[in-house]
Amino acid sequence: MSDPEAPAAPPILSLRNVGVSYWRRRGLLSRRRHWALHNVSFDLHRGDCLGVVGRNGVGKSTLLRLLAGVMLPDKGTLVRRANRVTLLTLRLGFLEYLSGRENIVLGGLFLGLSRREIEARAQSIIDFSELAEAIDEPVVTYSSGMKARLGLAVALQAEPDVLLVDEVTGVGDRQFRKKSFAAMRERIRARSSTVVFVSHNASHVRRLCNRAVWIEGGVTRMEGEVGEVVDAYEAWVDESPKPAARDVRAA
Amino acid sequence: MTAGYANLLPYRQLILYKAWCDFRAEAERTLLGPLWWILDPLISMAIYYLVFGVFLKRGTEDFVPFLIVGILGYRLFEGSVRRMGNSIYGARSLCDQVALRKLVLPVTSLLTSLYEFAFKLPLLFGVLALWGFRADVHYAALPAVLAVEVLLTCAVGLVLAALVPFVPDLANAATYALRVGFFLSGVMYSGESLPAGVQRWFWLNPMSQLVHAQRQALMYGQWPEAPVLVWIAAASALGLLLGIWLLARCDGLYAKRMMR
Repeated sequence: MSDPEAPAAPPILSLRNVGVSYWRRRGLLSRRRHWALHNVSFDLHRGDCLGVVGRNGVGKSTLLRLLAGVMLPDKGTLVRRANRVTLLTLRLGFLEYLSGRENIVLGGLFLGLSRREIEARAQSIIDFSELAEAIDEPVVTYSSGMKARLGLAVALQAEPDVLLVDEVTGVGDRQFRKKSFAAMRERIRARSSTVVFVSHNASHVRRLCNRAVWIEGGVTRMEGEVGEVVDAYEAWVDESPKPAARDVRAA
Repeated sequence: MTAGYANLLPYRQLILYKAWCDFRAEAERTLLGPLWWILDPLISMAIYYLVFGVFLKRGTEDFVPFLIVGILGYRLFEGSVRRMGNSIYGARSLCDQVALRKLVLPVTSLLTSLYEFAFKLPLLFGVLALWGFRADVHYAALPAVLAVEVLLTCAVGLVLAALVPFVPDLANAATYALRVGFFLSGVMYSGESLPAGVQRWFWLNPMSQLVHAQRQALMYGQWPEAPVLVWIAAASALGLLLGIWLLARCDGLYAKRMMR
């Protein structure tokens, strides 16, 4: 989607040889270092929708946390030229005993919006969440689907510079998923949003994204145009032993 | 690094709103709601009055206001430290989703406790008035004493908040320490009634000094001892800096550390 005529703008996010490790406890006094990401490099440009493909457990969720600024890399460099990079979540710090409306303000403040910005967007968040009158009821009375819709509506309508979406945890129920996908696609087409979309379902990535990066064993295997990367990934999965094939064909 | 980290101006709207929401959410949790903030110290006071005043005959003059001043003064410290200590570890899921300066969380908890304390103030002044204590010039010392107490609370609360995510057991240890502190701070007895040898140790506890200073201002018509307050404030300021420094150093480590 990047315009070849336009002067090359610097990437909004840039990763070079990035690694993230965790310490895993093995007993009372001993622990072992585990590298969730070993050596990941790619660039994210404004207006791109970058799909991240890879099997379960290759570090995709860690990558999203890293991009969101929740974690810092243990090696390599991560350059961030975006003010707000938001991880799409189902319920960001919601307080159950307060109303949906109050939780909109709270969620918006956590996402870095000001009170004025939240008030300006409140109606579109309520409309998008389809909660109608229930918005003034305490969140504790909501079904899990209603809570998910509210959380997603806040994150989507907050219009961050970069939206990070984990398909497994961040898309709510089936009906609302369609609506969220449509909203994301519309923004991607209008180039008003930059999205990183993590999925092990290659067909979803193909439908939604223009570029993709394939991660395997915490290492970037391939980065480029979505068709090329997803084709290579699927071919590799088809040749791999069965557990990998099960992962990608799931959902 | 620490000075920039401690600048919470960009987070002021979040802190104020979240503290108010936590305060309201706590009130909404029960049927009697905010009445519990009044009932809780009243019930505690009734129990201590019965045990220490009636059964053990260890009560002081004006024992009811004596107890209320002590209970409210200590509970401000105890409740705030407990809330602040658990503020980061208790927000594990939030810390896993959003890049948030962790200092925001204990500061928000402190503010919630201060809202709660403000709600209890009419009880404090009501009991004092009912027992015939009239506001005089010494009441003016109360804000200074409370300010020193808040500084001490910040110091202990921030250091605890910074360490609990690494050693969650510290939160349990702190609960016991705060409970022991309640009995060692002269809430239900006067420090002056203790044997001289014990008193030396008793007055080393800053909360003993602060509870006593509050009674001096509100009940005894005396000015609290300024040098004592200055010492506590100075030591607390050092603790506060240590807490902020620890949080600034560990800010990027918490999300990983608290992952399950």
